[in-house]
Amino acid sequence: MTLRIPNRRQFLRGAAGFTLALPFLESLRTRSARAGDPPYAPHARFICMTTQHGGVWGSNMFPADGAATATQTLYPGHTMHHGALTATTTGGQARLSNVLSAPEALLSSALVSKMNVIRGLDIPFYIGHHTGGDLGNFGRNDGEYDNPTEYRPTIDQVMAYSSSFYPDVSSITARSMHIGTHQDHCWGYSNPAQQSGEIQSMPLSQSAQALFNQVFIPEEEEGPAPRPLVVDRVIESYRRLHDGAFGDAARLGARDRQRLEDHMDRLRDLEIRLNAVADCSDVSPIQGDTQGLDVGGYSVNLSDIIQHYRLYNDVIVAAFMCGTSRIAVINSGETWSPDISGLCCNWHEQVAHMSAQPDGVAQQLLVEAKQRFFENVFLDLANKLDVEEANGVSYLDNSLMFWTQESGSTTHDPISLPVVMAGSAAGFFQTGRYIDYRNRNSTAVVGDYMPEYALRRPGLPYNRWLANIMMSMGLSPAEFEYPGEHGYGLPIVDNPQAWSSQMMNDSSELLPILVA
Amino acid sequence: MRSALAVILGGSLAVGCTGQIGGTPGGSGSDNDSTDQAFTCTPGDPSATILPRLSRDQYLASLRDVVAVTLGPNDVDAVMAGVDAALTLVPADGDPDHAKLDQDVSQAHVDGQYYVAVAFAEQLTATAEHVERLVGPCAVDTDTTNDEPCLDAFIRDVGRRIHRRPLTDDVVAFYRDEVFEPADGMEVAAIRDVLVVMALSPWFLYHIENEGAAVEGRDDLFELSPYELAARLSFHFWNAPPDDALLEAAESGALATEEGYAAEIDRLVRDPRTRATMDRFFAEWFELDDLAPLEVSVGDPAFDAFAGVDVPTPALREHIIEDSLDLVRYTAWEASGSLADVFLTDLSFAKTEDVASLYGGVALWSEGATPAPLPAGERAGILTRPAMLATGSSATHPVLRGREVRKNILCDTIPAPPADAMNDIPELDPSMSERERMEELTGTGSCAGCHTMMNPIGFNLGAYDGLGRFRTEEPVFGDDGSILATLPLDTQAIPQLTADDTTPARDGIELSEMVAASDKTHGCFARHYFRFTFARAEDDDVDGCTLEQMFDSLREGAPLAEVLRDIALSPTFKLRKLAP
Repeated sequence: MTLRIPNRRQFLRGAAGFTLALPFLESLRTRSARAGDPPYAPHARFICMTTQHGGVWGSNMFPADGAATATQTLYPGHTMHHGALTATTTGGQARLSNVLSAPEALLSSALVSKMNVIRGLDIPFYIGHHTGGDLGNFGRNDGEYDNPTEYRPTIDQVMAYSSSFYPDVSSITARSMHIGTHQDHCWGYSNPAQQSGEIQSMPLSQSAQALFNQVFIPEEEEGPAPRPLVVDRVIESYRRLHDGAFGDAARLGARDRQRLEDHMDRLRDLEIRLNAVADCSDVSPIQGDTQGLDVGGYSVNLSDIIQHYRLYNDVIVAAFMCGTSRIAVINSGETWSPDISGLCCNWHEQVAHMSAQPDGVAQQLLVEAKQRFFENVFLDLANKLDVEEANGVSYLDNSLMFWTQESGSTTHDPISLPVVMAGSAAGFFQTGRYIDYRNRNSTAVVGDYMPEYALRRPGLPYNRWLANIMMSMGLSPAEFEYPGEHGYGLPIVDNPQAWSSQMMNDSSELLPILVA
Repeated sequence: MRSALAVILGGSLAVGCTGQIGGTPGGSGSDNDSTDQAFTCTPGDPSATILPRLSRDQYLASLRDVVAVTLGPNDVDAVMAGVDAALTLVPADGDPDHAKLDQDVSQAHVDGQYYVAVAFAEQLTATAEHVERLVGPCAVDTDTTNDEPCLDAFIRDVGRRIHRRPLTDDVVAFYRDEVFEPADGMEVAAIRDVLVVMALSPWFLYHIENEGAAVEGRDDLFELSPYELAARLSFHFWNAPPDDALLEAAESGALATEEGYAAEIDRLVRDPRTRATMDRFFAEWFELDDLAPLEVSVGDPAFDAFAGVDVPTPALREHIIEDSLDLVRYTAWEASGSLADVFLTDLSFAKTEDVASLYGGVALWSEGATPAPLPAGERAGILTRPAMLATGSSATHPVLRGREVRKNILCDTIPAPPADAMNDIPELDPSMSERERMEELTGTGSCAGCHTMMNPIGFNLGAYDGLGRFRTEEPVFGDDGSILATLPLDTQAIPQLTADDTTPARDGIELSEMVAASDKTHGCFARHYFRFTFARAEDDDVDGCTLEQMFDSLREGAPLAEVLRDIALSPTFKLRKLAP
């Protein structure tokens, strides 16, 4: 038979761009508004950014208390404070706090009006080091002090497999994007379609270009129709092995078969996404790749680190514009301290774990490091997203992006995990506020070990913030609450004086001031 | 700024340290300060397994193998280069203990493997010449009458390598009638589809063992079929699929005979691929990949003064890792040495000038040559080599050194430090020795519980500086690079490898001798190698015989190669038990 080798286009769909050059467009462009479109997108998008350790003193992380003077009583004896979020500008540098400062061109008053800074969201038990607690897997901690270690899916994965979040997946090629250099942050079921199996960590993207190829759907070209995709036959091979058509089924145990079933569900999910239809005509490919860049916990190469995250920010923007994904999580494992040689290169011990030292030396390094992340990653993405999507509403307006840290104002400490957010989640949240949920009069979590411990005040359970995020994304509490619980995350309280049972019971209620 | 030497305590301070020694992740190992690591063999079934997947390394090796046996070995790199971009979507194995313990299958795995399969199929069939080599001349001639046998032969030949077993007629019919068809003759797009489905099939991505005979009528215990045994052997020793000879031994029945099985094991052990596998094992056991960059502090006056002529470059890190792996390779494969020899050898394997300089300017060694001894009285074995000692700073970090030996070599458990461990560090006299500082900070009170497990081992290794160089005194540098003091070294301490052992060690050599002789070391090796090769945590109750066999061989000083070989000779190696 005369050999016929298919043209490359015929193979393109299955290859997701891995074997083809992609069309190059000039720039990311704004989509035009369509008559009759609602002001906001029907479904909001979610981005979480996290950085390691925390340990930034409240006075450096947040605006001054005087910036939140309006009050509202939350519970008897617990009054919260809030106020307009306003940056001061000096010499072209805009400033909300020592960490939250950047050139005015990046931290403009317009952008500030779309941000919130939230203080007083606490994981209500001593969690220590954790990887994923800030997204709801409180059980992924270091196990000290008999901490509970029951794993739960992180909220990104709850949403990624929720039909409320993704009622229609016909354009979705990546339910969630996992970016960064610190593994084990997002967690989901081994069979997410069935919400069953082990809770396992979600792998990180290894290449911005590869992730881009996954979320970018090139325009179809003219030509003969390619052969249909073969994923259904791959599934069939698993089914026949599972059922005994290909070998004796009795030689497989129940858990072997479960693993095959999990794999088949994954393949079915893949098949849906391979058939996704989306319009990426306004999107240009990213320039360059992250592979080969000097990043990770040991890196002091700031330019490579910044390039790494900016490339991924471009991928997130592309995915949102294409409509091929609506969830992204960035977990930076870098120190963001380019010059630590004077510390004898042990950032973990000499900066992160020295953050509470009253001499302030380590603290200053932390402040500088976190400010770099804020300016170069958070603001970079916020500004890239703040272009009109439709009807005068930007992609940022239709999103919720927030940045938090592993710990509050001292390392290991889960009190007042800082939440810096931008976007209103398609109008769900009010923005432009500094919101302080702390009970400034409570001494329930005051410690005398170091000066910063004396300044700790309890706020509201972080469980409630997680619930509010999911509600902003279209999920009802009934979808994410565990039996007998409210909010999201293990309802462990190690100090009832700080976090009352009433507070915990209210953890699926909307957060005051933040939600209109 | 606090003095550079002040507080290298990370991850190691603890209150309430129980002195827990031993234990296994997910297993039932020792949980107290026992004096040895003896295992108990209760003959019985092997541990149950749950459909293991190929590790990433095994997956890559399997892809390369398909190219090598179809297009030829010379095409492997070119084909794989065309798959590289897609491979970035397949997650790395993430278990911090041994990569293969990561048995998660996530959506990212399934997605990534799909894109790899598609790119792989395209690369294998990129040209007519490729197709001819892959399928045969019948695929490209003008004779249409041979298409059907041509296709069947292709499916059976390539399928046998990808499935790692001959395909049954049912499976051949599936690929021919349901995957290839409908096609217009020997259509390449259809051939690609067959390759894609094969490369995504459970037989390629998982270790499928479903053909063996039941053991004594049991419904949960099976002998492996010859092909399954061939695959288990090749992945065990090579981390790669079986080669032609192994498949032929399975087909001929030779593998089912005692002599034939032993002969194949000998061949596998002698093959260089086993050495590469063992390189990976030792790199993971000693956590060589976790060695920090050494050049980070270059430019700091204190570090520059400390480093002197040995200014680290990025390459130095790779060179000293290679130096340690060379020690293991030579000991295991050239000298037929034992595990104890790994901790005792004083031979030099410095292949580059930068490493030779760290050893005091020794002569360079080249592979194949007989290594010369290092300067007498300075070093013994792996614990005293730069890759195990270097810190990238002028500090030696005795706590971290001690912790690594405890955790990795002795399989002890050290609890995480308490939250406030680092928050109240007193200022210390900058001219104190590092040992004096550590003793001041951690030698008493609540810290001492755990630090008595770590600090002494670090003190024993105090004669090696932050670049792994041997020294006889300790210079203390100021921030500007000036020498504040030159202090005598005190490396004598009681390492207390077991709770009741109060024997002091004078230095790193005596420490190494104690480690080499310790049953805990033998037991720890057995645990780690078990996890590495079987891709699961050991269960002391069920896996006791395999562990004991290794332990006994190591204790008797058996050559490492023999220890590895003996595992495959144990009766349970040929069995599979289903999980309930």
